[in-house]
Amino acid sequence: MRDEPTRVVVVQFPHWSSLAASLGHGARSAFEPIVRAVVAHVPLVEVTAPGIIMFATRGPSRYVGGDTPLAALVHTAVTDALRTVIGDAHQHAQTHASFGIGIADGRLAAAIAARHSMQTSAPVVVPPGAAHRWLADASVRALVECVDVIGAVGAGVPDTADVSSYRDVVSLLERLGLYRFGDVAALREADLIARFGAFGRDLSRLARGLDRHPPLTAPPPPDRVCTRQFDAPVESRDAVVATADELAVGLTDHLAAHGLVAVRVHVLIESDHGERSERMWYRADGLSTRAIVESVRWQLDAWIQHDAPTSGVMAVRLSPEQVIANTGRQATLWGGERDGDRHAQRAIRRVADVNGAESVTVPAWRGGRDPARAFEFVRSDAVDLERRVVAGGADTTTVGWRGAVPSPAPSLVFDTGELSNGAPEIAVLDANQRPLVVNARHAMSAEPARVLINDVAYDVVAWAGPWPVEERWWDQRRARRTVRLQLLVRDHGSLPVTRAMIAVLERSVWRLAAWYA
Amino acid sequence: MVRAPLPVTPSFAPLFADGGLVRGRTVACTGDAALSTALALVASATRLGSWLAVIGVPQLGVGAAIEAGVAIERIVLAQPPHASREWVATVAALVEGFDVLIVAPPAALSAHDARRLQTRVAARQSVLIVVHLPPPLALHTPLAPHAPLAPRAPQVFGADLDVHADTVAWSGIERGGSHITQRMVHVRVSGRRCASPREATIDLSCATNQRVS
Repeated sequence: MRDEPTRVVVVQFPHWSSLAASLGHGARSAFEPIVRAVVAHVPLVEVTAPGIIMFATRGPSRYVGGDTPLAALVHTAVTDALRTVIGDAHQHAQTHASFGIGIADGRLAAAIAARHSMQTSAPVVVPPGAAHRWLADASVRALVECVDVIGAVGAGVPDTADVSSYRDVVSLLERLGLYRFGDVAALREADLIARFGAFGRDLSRLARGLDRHPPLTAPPPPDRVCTRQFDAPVESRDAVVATADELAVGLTDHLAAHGLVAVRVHVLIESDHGERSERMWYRADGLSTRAIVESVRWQLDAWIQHDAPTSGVMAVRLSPEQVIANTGRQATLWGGERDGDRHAQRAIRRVADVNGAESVTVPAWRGGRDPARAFEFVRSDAVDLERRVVAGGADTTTVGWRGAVPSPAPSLVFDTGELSNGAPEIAVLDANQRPLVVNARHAMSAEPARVLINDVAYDVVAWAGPWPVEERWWDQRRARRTVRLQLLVRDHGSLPVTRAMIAVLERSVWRLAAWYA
Repeated sequence: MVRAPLPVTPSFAPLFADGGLVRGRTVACTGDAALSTALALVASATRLGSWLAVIGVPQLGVGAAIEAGVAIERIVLAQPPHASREWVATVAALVEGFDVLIVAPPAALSAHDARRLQTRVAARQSVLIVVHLPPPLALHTPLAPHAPLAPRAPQVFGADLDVHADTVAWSGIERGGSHITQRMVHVRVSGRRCASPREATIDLSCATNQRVS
């Protein structure tokens, strides 16, 4: 089998979940009309997640007379479908509705092309054989944005202890001076493996424009198709899903016994009257049992809603179309995943589907002195929650940072960064009601006496500081000079309570940075 | 089937007649140390494998959660829409997968929706902890337009237990010197599921270092 990337079309809506949320729909049900618009021209598309459609160009391109006409055709179809989805929704929805279409050899190149196409709002077609040149100029940061297309770092890769997300990978690459895929492709695979562990192989393949997983050389295991024929038509949607669940368990177990996992599964549902619904499902990380069942549910819902089959379901068939070696999730064998973990992840996914993935986040340690920035909140779909649990949060236990706010840590923190308006502005006054200032030698103009927060006055009982914080002083543009003050204040209520807070002075404005709630 | 209560940190254990957080119940945390206390209460449970959802507190200080002993790999933050119905739908979906939920309810939440949520929590045998964030943050909203902290403390939840935590002493900090090193909190546990109120003064800054086996 030749190791060549498949030429694919990627249609991507980067902000799909936000768009769906602003329209008040679930991400999946809102995406269905778009999928159907594409399916009208290209029978078998791969749906990975709401917002992403991929398919191989080979058949369709030949049919419509080339990649460029194909791209134009899909673009028109998607634009029309999008118009009906959005309808006359308010302006807010329009801002999330941008999408891109890219055609290239290999999924990563096509996904990057789709990203570029968003800026010009015309499809970007990378000529055959030019993918590696196209990639050579692309920033490695694209890895973070293309996670849905190429799969998470840990997918199918054992022992990726030092890199757990594409953010880590990108930051490491940039620190090594490798800013473009061309720089990465110039390195030997062995060197990348030496630095990134087993993931280095995938990185090398991606940078060279190959598909992430090499074609399997071993013959696929026999009896790969799982079918269930019902004796009588089944009308209940849940019964069909339950059957699919059974089949999916059988299929994934069967593959797992051979050390494999399916990345593409073809699902066929047939009614008693011969109506069929078929769709290809793709997930770069490999489709777990859960993912297969969710796919079947999505497909079934769409079928019932849009095609209204005239009789009950007679048959369900799952056939894995592409399998890869499954070496990644072995950790779960020794007791990694438990029921509780699985339930939580299912709940997270459900909420992310409804409210948008950015509404559900997990904390990741980033370090730094600013309490609001020591942790960033990462979209839950961008991290492998299972891996985090298995790793025991090892990546987040580093708390002691020189110059950070000393323990005990405040329970509410506000981002005082320049671009955010997260931290509320406050006034810190001296005994004469004059604003407190701190000079270049970090000496205060007087002792702090009062604090005004939202026009409520508090008396200062005690304070610590001022602590100067100079961040990135070596970088003119991003340098920050701030002064931090820990304050103990008492309010004038009937029951005086002493509260603690941290105020930050930057460019002669005091802000509330933290609150000990 | 009645499942065993979720264990609480040893320093808090004497305050709970049942030895921990009884599943299916709603706990209201009030006082100026409401959030820190809520985190301390759930820490042991998360270390023993329970997942924690913190809902409607986008400004959560993760450092404080870690110091309280919460297992960071099982914390998830969710910012649901503020409309009453949607908020409850989101939290109800999370209840399906989470043993412990710390929520700062939006002002718009209706008593009816709150009750529906509590029924869900009881059925799923989770523990719902409602925190009432203290003023001034709770009094006025224009902090961050996209993520207001609960503007008023809505008493729409009929809590089974009330945990009131007020700081009684901050140590270490002076007029211009050192910094806060210790926080003593007076905690009072009462409510309709509590035969007689119990109270204790707890060193919150060190509740953390005690480990559960």
